[in-house]
Amino acid sequence: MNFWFDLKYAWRLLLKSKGYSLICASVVALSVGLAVWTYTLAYSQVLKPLPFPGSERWYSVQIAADAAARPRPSIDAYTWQELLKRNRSADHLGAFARQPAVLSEGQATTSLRGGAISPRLLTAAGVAPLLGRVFEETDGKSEAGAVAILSFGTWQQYFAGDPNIVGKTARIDAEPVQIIGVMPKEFFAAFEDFEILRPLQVPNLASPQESAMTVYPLIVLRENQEPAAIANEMKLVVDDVNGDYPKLFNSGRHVALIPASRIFTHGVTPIITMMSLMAAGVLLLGCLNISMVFLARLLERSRELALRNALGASRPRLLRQCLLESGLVVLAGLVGGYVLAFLGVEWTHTINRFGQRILADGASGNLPVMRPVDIVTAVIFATTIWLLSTLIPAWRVTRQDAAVVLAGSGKGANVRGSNRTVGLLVGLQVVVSCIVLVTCGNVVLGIHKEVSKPAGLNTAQVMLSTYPTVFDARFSETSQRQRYWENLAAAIRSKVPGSEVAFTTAAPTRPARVAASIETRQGDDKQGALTLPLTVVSENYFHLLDIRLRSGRLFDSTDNSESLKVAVIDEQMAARYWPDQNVLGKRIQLNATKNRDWLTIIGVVSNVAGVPYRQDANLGTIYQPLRQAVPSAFQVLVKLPQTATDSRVALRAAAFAVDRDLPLHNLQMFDDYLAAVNLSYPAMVRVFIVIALITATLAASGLFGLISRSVAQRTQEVGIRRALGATAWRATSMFLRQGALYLTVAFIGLGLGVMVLPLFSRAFPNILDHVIPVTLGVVLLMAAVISTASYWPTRRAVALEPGDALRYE
Amino acid sequence: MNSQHVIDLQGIRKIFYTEAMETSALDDVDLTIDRGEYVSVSGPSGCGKSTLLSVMGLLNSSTDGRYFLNGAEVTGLPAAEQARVRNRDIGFIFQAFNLIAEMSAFENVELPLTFRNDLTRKQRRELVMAALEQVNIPERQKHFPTQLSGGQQQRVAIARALVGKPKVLLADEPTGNLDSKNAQLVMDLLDTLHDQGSTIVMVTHDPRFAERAQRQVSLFDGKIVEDRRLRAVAPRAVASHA
Repeated sequence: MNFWFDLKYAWRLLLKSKGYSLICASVVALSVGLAVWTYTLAYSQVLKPLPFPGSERWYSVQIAADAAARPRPSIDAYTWQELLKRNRSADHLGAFARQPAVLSEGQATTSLRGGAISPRLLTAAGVAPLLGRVFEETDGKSEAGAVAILSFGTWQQYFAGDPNIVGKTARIDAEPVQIIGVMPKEFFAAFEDFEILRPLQVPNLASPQESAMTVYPLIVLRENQEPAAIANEMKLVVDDVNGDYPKLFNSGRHVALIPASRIFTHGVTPIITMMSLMAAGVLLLGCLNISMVFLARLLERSRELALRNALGASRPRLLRQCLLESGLVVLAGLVGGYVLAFLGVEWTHTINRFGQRILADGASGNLPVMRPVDIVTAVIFATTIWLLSTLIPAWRVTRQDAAVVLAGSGKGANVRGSNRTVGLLVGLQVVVSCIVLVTCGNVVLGIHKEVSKPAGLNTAQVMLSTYPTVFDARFSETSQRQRYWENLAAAIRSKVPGSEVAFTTAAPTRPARVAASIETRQGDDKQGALTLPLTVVSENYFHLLDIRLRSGRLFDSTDNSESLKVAVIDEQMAARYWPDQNVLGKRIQLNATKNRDWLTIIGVVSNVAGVPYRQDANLGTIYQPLRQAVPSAFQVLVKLPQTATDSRVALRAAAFAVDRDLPLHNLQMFDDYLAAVNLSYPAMVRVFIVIALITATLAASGLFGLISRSVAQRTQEVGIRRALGATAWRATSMFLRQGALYLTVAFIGLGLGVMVLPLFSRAFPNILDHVIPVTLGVVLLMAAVISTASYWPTRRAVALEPGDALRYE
Repeated sequence: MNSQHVIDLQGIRKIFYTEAMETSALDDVDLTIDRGEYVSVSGPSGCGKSTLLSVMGLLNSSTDGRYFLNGAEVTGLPAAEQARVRNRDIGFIFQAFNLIAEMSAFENVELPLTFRNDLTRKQRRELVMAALEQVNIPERQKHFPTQLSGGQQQRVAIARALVGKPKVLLADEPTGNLDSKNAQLVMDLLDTLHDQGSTIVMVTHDPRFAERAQRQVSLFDGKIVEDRRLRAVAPRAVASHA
């Protein structure tokens, strides 16, 4: 009964001051919303376990290309083979590899996201197939008949959910393949959303050059095994491989064991950590804000609380009354925060949907989702705010001597203590705000600078097949491939008149890296450690993308298998390896090719920007002519005439007409492709801008509230000073001086913020590029906030006549 | 006007406006106070005593009427000029002492002097010490208000009022927050100050203290209903002040 009495009173108080209630609830909602959204993101990216039994002991074997590089989950087949042979203490589960598949049925050809997987890895996942069986060890042997397992979606979409599919044969990559099973609906998202699986077959390799295949290996730790010990053993094997092939592998190449749940998201851990710290900062600001508002409100009500005390209310009862009132506000904020977090997750999905549509890379197992347990998370965050912000002020107020409060005389002791508390809280708020603002500002400007770099390409009306089309066994002869490209180009021009066609082995912004030596460094033992970006391109590639010739010449039809092997490089590479020299005629050796070909440089072209924060962005690119390299896989680039709109159907039909088993995979407009691969960066910019805005708002409202309260509390002092002859300006300057002191504290925050930045330089290497303008900007912002927050309330106090100010309560 | 008048109020009216109503706190008040006079203002609660003192002290402006201080009209002075007058010509003693909690006794007394630009630090120090000695509390100069008793706080407040050598001391219920013993001490101090030549206007509702003044002005509903002289002005005091 008493509880309801208190609750009703608390509710009435909140309704009485709607503005106050709304502001407090909004602060809680923003803090909780951001915290919960960040937590769901952190959970999905780095904390979420794999849905396999015992998967917490699964580790991904990753290799970093050199001492400073970030470990990558895919390793070359030869190194993996050596690890399997020579590292006996690790329990190798096997590996999986990306192996696109072409499914041909009747008059239709479909590209599927194909994967190859070790039979044991599939078994260890412990997921029973929906139909048929999983792979057995014999399925992986080359002499065994070709078999495949379908994903649930593939089974439904391409085989109409045929219940008798097991045992039937499908035409995959121009060969008959027996379907042996169908996996359940949710299975593949744990690693990759493969649409079809085949057993992984790695031939016995005598040297790394024999296969360009890369695999994603996994091990499981046995009882009492530590990842560091296994990694040390593997290091010896990798060091041996590096030593055996110094021209292919950097001597600093090393192995790292990463928990399998973070196989693809390990690289984002620093960014997630950073965002979590920022969210924690915002949560702390929210706590400080609410705390001060509650303190001010409770001090205003100290006479009422003293009266309750005088009437017999115990301190716990008074505390309960205070907690009830703030609890209602926090409850409203909790609901708002949960809704904001939900909207944030939906926004993440919207972004991901665009990327998924353009890149056709399937569902991700790392997308954030709001789980029922996140309600608990939100409640924990809100309760933290509630208790931290209410208990201390409530405890202070309920500790006051009721008789003194009711007599209206505290001898100023309360004011002195309260002013110290306000000063401390303002200082803390200024410091935390500065750290968050400096970090967010530098991240935002750093990313903006990186993504705003000119692409160096004219991508208008250019369409690209985003995944390579791989030649099958029918195209073992180079002449067959040459003929195919000529036929395909002709077919496309016929179907889309006025179009221009080029071929490449990689998207222009993502050249592959290959081991290479540079002639000027001959004799240097470490030269083979160079891995340089290389793209094989057809003659008209440069013209189609408007990549400009700077010196020498471009490729032409005379650059064929019979002629001197040549290369074109870009300005960046020329400047890096041949500074102030004429590079024409200089040579580069490709160590990964069987004959270790030497390429003579015949031209230099303009630079093409890579994907943001690419580690090899400053290395430049080597271009090799298609007629000489004759690669086993290719991507097509088509410049459509201005009048053409969506030509995907025509392009697919052209490819089908040339060879039904070699479709063009995932045709997309180049601009859409670039937007999709760089998707996370604009999203991150928005997130950090939102964090910065919330921080600035909380800082402004908090400082305004705190300083207003401080001024209001000192209004009588203003009256005293003015009664003693202080002018209005003198009274105002008293508070402006105090503001200047807070601004001095801001410099501590700025210093801490700048000191924190290098911790994130691995995720954002250019994070310090804008440190001076950002710091100045934050100083100006804080100066504006503090001076406004100091001036306006003071103006109000000074506007009172001294006599009124003296009577002010 | 007579050059002996320190304060000359002519037809002063003060109306307080609220959203719902207006309240007349002072209604056509005429009052002159001569140099060296010790005047008590008394009357029931809400009669306008404190408002009258606020108007005299330029803490509140009057709604109507004219106010001459030391022969010069101060009605409608700009705010900065009013501040200068408050600083140099008027000394306030408040019922609630109104000391600043974060300042020591010395700093509280020094405060009005810091608003002037014609004194060196040394001069300020000498004036403050003299004022503290005048109220017999120099040994407490480093204490903060919370470390002082009510009587001591009021003595510090009186020292603060005296330190700038004002032409008139305005005391608003100076004994209101004190026990009888301390109240007696403060009243003795005011008597001494008057004997030394200070012009004092004191608001009080205690008839015992009101009768210690030379002249007693009674207010009722914002009007002066009685103005009686209890004793003559001591010529020594006038001469001393002059």
